[in-house]
Amino acid sequence: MNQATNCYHCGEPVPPGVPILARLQGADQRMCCVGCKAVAEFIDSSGLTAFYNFRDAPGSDFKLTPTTTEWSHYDSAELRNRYVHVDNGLAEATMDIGGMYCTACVWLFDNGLKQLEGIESASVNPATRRAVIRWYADSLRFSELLDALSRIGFKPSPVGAGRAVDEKDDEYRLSLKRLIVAAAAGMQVMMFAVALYAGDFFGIEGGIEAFLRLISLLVTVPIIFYSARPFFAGAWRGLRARSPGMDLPVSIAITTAFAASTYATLVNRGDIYFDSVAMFVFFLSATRFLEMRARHRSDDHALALARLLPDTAIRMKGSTSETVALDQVTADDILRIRPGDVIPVDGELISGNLFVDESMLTGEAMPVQRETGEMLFAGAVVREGNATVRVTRTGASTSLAEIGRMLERAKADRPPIALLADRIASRFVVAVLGVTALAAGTWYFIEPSRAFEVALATLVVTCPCALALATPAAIAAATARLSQNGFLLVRSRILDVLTRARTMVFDKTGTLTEGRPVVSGMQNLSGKELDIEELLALAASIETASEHVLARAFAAHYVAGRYEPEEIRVIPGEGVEATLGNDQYRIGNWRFVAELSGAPSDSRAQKDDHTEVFLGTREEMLACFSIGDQLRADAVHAIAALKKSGFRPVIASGDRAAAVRSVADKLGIDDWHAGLSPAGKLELIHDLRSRGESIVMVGDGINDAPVLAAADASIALDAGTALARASADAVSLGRRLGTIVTAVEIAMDTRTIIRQNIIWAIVYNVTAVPLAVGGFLAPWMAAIGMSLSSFVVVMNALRLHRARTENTMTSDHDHNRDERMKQATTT
Amino acid sequence: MNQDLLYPAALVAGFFGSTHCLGMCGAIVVLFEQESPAGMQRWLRRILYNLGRLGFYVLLGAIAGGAGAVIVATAGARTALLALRLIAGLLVITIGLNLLFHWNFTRFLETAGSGIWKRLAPLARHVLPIESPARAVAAGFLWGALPCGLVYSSVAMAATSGSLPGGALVMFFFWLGTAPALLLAGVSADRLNRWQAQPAFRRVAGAIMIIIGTLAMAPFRMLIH
Repeated sequence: MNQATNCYHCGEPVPPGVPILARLQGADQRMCCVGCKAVAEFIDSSGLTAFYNFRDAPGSDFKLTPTTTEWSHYDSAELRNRYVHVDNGLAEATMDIGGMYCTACVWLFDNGLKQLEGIESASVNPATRRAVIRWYADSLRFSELLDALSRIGFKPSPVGAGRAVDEKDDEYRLSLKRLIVAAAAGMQVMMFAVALYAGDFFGIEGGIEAFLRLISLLVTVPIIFYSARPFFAGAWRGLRARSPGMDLPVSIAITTAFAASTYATLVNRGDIYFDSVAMFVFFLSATRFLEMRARHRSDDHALALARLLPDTAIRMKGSTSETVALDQVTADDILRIRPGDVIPVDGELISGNLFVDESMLTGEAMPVQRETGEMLFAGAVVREGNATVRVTRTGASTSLAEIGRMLERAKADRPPIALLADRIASRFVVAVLGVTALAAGTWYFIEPSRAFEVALATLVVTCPCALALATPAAIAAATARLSQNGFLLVRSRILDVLTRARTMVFDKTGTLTEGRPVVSGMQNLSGKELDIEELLALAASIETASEHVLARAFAAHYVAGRYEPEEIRVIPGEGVEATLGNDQYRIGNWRFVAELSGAPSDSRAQKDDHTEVFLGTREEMLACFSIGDQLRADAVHAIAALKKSGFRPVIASGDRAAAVRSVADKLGIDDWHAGLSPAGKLELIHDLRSRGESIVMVGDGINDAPVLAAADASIALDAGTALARASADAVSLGRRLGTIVTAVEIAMDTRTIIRQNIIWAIVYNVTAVPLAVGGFLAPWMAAIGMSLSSFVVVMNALRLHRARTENTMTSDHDHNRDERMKQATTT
Repeated sequence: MNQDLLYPAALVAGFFGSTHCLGMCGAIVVLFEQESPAGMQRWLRRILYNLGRLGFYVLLGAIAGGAGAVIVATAGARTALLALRLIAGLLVITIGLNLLFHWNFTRFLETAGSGIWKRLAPLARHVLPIESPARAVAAGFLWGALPCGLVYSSVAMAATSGSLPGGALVMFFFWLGTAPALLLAGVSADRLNRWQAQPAFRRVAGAIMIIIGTLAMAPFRMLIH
């Protein structure tokens, strides 16, 4: 398809094959058809070639001249090798063209590029917005080409060696062609069949009948040898793997029916089944086609992820910046990030304050704030703010790449239910062949003339599609749906476990809570009026020196340049001491501060769930700050939803009892365990399991790996930087617990749908097989029945793509993300 | 013979098939316009070209229908008509496939047809510039002779009518289908390009052509006594 250029005359793509060339003003131009050639040569010979000039530049006289700017790094050897294929001086590159909205743009693209010297051909597919451009490598540089495109107003993004999309497109197109051939030929055969049946009733001339049968045979040939090929291939694969799939009986049925009908046609005696064969192939192909579409849709997410990153980054070199290829960025480089950018690497925010949209990574639609010192992840989109970032990981080691790999792995991993379905389907097929042979044998003794027809009907009518086709489709749909919600399956057994487990054990810190300390309250101990903001800023400026976990809570309150404490001294385990003007300050635990300030007038009992930090001068104790770890924003909602769907939540925490109780109370969790060592948690899990409960463990996936492993299934939450190390059956990205609720719902829906399909399959087969064996079904009825059955189960499975999302609060935003996904896939 | 189905099939084939012609024939109209003095009314001129085109089509249709009548008379009615019908249907389906996949199956036909054009093209040069209504009609007549798979498929359909006036009528309906698009053609070459390049339109047109082709082949009415 890459060979296609457009007709010089009418602009339509030139079909493949021997080119039609028209000689116009001494130069050969490609034409799409003889008609265009005739017109073009007529125009030329009439001396009217001005027509083409008139057409090509209506009222505009823009001219493209090559210049070199920010695209120049594309001339680097690495990038050129990645994107440009040079053969015999002719370079070819495939690129996605952003900013192409309508066919007028396509026109602009084609004509604009033709003005550029050195272009051999340029063609763009308006549907996929993907262009293939060929040019003479010695007269035009890659960067100049890209620059020219960007100046016409397009955003070119070269497509590298990844050929996945093309393969998918090819598969799609081939299946569509097969389907159309089956449909067109099938309709024809059906009409002949109707005529023949009518002829049976009303009488028909013998010659005409023979003629119609012969024509039916001819029209069926492309169905067998073109449309039905995938079934034969599938059957052969199954046979070689010694695990026959549903393609085997299908192939046998098609082959024998066709062979018998052909024989009947040639000897002009006996029944023909061309209509049944055609219908069977058409309906089955249609079902497969739908299933394939669903499969491709499931892949889109992974693909979109891979396409997400830009090719370049802005690297800071002292005070100057340069645009470099992303390949050349290494750890510890400093990059500048602007609003609207896609963050190209994992890195630490070293200055600036950003709102980033991480929905592609986490499924979380709301932009999140990232402040100095926090991690940024490749693939997030900057909504607001400028920043500089120190690169920590690039390329294949970013979280984004890891997510992509996880999606790939999850696709390869088949849950027990799918494996079971496969095994049963395989046996089912063997049973079908057995029953068919038996039916044929029995009928041969009762009524030999009908034996073949009955055997054919039996072979055709049985339908293991609910197992062989619909179950994998359902699981693929569910997996895709989950990953879009920021819930990545690592081992898909979790889909099974989520539907039967009734206990969900949560770690507290970093799971139910954010895992980040914040100043949650302040008490004035001085007796004077104090400005809270000022005090916090003061405390923060002193705490900057400390590495302590609690000190991080103050970071958000730091105001640069407001206070500049001197003689800062950090006393580990106690606090920080500093001098500001003439005053000496201490911040830290009560004993440490009281040593300097003396005990405050109103000493009170420590609050339960907070750790306290005191601030005092030599004169007096100023304030007491409560440092708390906030609950996740949707924790209350999520736990309530989980309880509603029948889960018993349990907290297993290493934290102090008071802190754990407070969280448990807020969330309405009765069963909580505090002060547990890792070994203690493990024991708790074993204990619960020994009582026969199926356990889902939710933790951060890093510190509690053995505990996660002990549960029936495990979910790691917000693994962030440590995605690769997270040892869990699923990873929930983002800060919401709601993804787990959604995951449970989708798992439940998946199970329901698989069950419905299997029940349908049982009911259908139990009804249909005896009817067929009993000789009550004509082969064409069997073909319709089987096709309808497989259609029903596949459509049912595909409902999972539209699973409900009422508890996730993202449904409003899903649309936006879908849009972005689409852009990422198509541009 | 269900000729009642033949006429609408030709009409619809013309209508949807003409998207294919726009890129090619639009240029002709633009060219005619460029080469014409401002005197005659634009719309009148356009109608005249198309009437000229109709003339050529009807001529072709009548010849084909006549040939069909001869075949029917010599080879026996049913078999001959069925075979003709089959050929016509397959041709229309082929046009549909051309539209859908950018294949070009009818190329051999067009190549054969370009022989006629080569004879007539020198004449075309004599009709330009178009300064009289007669010249406009003549130009349209020659326009009709451009090699075009769609026209040839319709001519095959005309042959299946099995009678001389029937064949002419089939081509009249085909012309009627193409008339809207080609009357509008040449309003602006640019706008035409855009319209015709709509992939969705091509796809719909292609699918409809395949369906028409299939329907056109529908044989059963003639088989039931």
